[in-house]
Amino acid sequence: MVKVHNRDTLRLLTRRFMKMNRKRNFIAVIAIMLTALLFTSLFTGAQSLILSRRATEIRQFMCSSHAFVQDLTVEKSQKARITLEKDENVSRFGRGIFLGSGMNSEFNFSAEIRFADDNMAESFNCLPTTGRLPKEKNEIAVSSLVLDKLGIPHKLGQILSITWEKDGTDELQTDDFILSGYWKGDKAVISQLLFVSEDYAIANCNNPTETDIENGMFSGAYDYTVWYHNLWNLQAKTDQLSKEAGIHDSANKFEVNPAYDLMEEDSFSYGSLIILLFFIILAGYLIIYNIFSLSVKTDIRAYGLLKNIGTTGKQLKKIVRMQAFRLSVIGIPVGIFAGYIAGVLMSPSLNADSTFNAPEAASSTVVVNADPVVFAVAAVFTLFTVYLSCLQSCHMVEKVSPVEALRLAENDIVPKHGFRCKNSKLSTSWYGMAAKNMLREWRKGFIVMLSVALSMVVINCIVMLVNGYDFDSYRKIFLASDFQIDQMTGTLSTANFKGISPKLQQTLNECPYSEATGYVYYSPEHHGMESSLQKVWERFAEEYKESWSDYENTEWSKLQESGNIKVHFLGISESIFNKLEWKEDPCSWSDFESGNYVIVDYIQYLEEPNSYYQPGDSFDMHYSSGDEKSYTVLGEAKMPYAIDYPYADTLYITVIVPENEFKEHTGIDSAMYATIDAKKGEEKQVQNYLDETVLKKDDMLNVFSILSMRESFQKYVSRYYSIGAFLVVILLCIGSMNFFNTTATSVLSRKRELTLLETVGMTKKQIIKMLIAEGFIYFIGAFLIAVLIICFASEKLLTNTIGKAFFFKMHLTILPCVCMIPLFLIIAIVIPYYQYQKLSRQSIVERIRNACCTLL
Amino acid sequence: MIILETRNLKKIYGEAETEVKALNDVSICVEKGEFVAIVGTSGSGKSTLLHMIGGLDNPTSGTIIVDRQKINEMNSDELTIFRRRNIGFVFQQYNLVPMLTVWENIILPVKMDGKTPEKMYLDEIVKTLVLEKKLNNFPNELSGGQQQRVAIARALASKPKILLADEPTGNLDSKTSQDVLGLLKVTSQQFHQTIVMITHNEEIAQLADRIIRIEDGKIVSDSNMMKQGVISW
Repeated sequence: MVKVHNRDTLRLLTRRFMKMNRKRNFIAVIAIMLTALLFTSLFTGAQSLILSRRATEIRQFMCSSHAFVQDLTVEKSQKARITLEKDENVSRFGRGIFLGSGMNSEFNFSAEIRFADDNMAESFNCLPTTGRLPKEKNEIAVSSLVLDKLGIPHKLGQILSITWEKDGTDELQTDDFILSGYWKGDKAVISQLLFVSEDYAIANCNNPTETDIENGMFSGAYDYTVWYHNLWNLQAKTDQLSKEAGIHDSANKFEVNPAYDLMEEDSFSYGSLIILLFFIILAGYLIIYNIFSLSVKTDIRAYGLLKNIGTTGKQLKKIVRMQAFRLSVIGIPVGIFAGYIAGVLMSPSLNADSTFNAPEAASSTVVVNADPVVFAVAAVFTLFTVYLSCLQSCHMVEKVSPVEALRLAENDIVPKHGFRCKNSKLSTSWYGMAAKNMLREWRKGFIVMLSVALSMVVINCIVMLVNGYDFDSYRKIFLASDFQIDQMTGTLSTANFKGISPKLQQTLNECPYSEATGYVYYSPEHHGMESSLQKVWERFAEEYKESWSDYENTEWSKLQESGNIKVHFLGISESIFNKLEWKEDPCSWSDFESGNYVIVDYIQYLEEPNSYYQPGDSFDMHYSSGDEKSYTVLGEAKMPYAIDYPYADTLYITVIVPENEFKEHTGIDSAMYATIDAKKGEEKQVQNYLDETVLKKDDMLNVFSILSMRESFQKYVSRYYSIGAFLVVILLCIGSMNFFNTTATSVLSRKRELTLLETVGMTKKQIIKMLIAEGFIYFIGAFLIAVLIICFASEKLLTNTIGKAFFFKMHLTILPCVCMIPLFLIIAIVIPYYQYQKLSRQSIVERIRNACCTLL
Repeated sequence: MIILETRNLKKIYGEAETEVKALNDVSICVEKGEFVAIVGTSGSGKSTLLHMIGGLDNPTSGTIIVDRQKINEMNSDELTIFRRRNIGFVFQQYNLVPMLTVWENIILPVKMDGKTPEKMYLDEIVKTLVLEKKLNNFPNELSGGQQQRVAIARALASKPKILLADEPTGNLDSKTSQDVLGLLKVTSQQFHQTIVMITHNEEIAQLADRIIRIEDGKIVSDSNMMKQGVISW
């Protein structure tokens, strides 16, 4: 086919079509804007979620580099260093040597002694802000928290006496150092660091062999941190490094920093993102489709005429697409701007749920930035949605038959499928005519109903979601009482199981506002398995072995070999006893207190029989302290989740004794948890008491209170409130715009038909009634579709996607839908009324003439 | 020189019992420069014949040859391009594009083909059709006669091989009808333009060089052939 230069003519036609459809343009621009807004806020929100999560992890886990390797022997370290120097992907790297733990009695936190170069210190987020890293053998750089604990003023040149333990040995070493630099310490991180010089490190460490390292003696082991030029393909680059350095088979190889590993993100699900994307495309599609489809239908004769005189289907399609593109050029930038603002405003609440416990809450960081890539992607998605929405309109103009256009000119629009009504009385009444009009264009009607219904369903779901979050089920997981105090951390290695000292206990017991105070003590013990117990475990292993990790498998073989099972041995006070979750009937404290009984737990994941012991069985305890005692099993119970041993473990049993019995045989008098139940309405006083007496003295303690729990719950739920409110507003806009557009166009596009009806004797009142009835039918249809979807699909939809939280309880309601009725009723009544009144300002003769001349 | 020929043209709507033969074995020939009137009552098939000749609709069977091109073998896009290069239409409803001015309407088919309108030629048409003062008006600002004159000007702008007029005076009063027909006649002579006009009005048909009568989808008389003694009454 010959390519002809008619672009200018097509542009002219596009311009004229747009001029003719000013109202449509306005509505279409708003619709495109809303779609762009939704995409941008979604992408900005998602990006902020990822970046904030990354920033939080980098801070918590003290690693800001892209990849790292730990615990290398000297030989391997040399190979790794050569590899890093050669590799083209690596932009820079840091090097460090681990020595051991700081053991000064003043330290109530985990402290590490190591050598680090500038890059390594930077990766730890521990570069001295005052002074520098140590160079001389007797220099040291530490965090301000260390200085505070040692009571040393923040001044360079101070002398610090540090006692440390060579890792994996019991050797203690004490040296005096000169302070060469310090930085502001961060309580949220896993350990406080003390940097010594390389010379000191090399002179004072063991040179660990492979075997030493396997046995957990890390003193003198080398670490490297690596930065690449970019973030692409981190895993492959990192694997490549391991291969080149010849350490890809060993346990200690190069690994990608989890903060950069997006697939590991637990708080951010790709599934939800895809569902939201699909939903936005659908919402945008439904309205933009409707706008274009209505306008093309109204202008179909003009398109037909153009085809008649020689415009090809392709050119007509181009005209429609050019209109869509011009509208997008206005709508998208405005939408992106508004979406960015919305994304920024919502980010803090989006990140609210990643902060369940105190140390994490303190270190959560919110990052929002204006990324051109995000805007570009949002623009592309919006354009894609607009393109999809126009497809049907393009198809319609492409296929318009020139003969049909002539017929349209002569006889106006003739319905293809006539719906006949046998009852002529009904078919000529205003409501009968309204129904027939609806059926005449049922497809258009259905799309409008679907779009309005979509808005209603989502609004309804948002309300159900927010109402479904249940504070009590939320609280139970994190708190067994009103207040809970401990020194546990996110990882087992840094946890303090003896955080609540007798002195602290005394202070807590003196609190005048508490109803009951209780303690949980912990000691890791072992127990020689009786044959019945062994059988229970064998059955358990049979069932679950396939899903076990290597670690669990090794533990299982060790267990079978030794016949000794790990015991989480707990001592509890009376108020804790009252919180136990009993398998059968609760037992009495007075029996238990005697010290002759133990309470044991049971396996939840096995079918009956799932007991380790039956009440009345005897249980022989061989304490690690050397004591031995035979007890009777009083009953079977589990500790409440919030005050149980908090770390993942598979092969163990829990055995509980009264606190005095525990102290007597283990020699441990510091508790793992303290719980306080406040007197009714006195939670605030207890909080103040704790703040003043406990927290002021020791700010490494974690205090979880029902007050902050309620606050964090509110924060979590408010995330849904703010996103929900945002979506509700947008969807209401989309729904009512669609409804508005349909009712308004149904009047405008039938100008001639309505005029004719008036000519042959239908009164204005009857016509308005007919139009309003049409609007009602749309609305009732939408309402019914919405109610059907809510009743049959919303529960599955919610519980499988956003409502996965354990404290979500579904309450089915259609109240929000019902609340939307007045709004839609107003639109259904006011718009046709207003439009028809405007139309009837012209006389009938004028209207017929205009309609005949222009048919528009 | 034969510019238009149809051979055994058939157009059938519906199937079996509801079958309607709109055209039944129609064969005609039109010479270049002829002004032919096709006359028939309502429903006789004359508009269908015109639509077939203009490439607006496809025949069920038979051949249509316009300027040596078999248009019944073309696809939709080829037909559209064929139309814009070879056929000019004048309809009873004028069918002007409402959002374009008179001048834009006239030059649209030429522009669509990516060509530059011939200013001198168009000026002559505009002058002949007395549209000089209306060029910047929109169609809905014109009277029926004026709109029809614009339609004729548009039909002539691309120098079509054939100008097809479907009841061009159907919507006009008798005075204006006379004017429009006079203009058609003048154009036919002045630009040596082949015109095929459909009408149900005997009086109007008399202005043509040749009259073809059509009834129930069949040609019942052709003044040309009568002259040559092929068909007799």
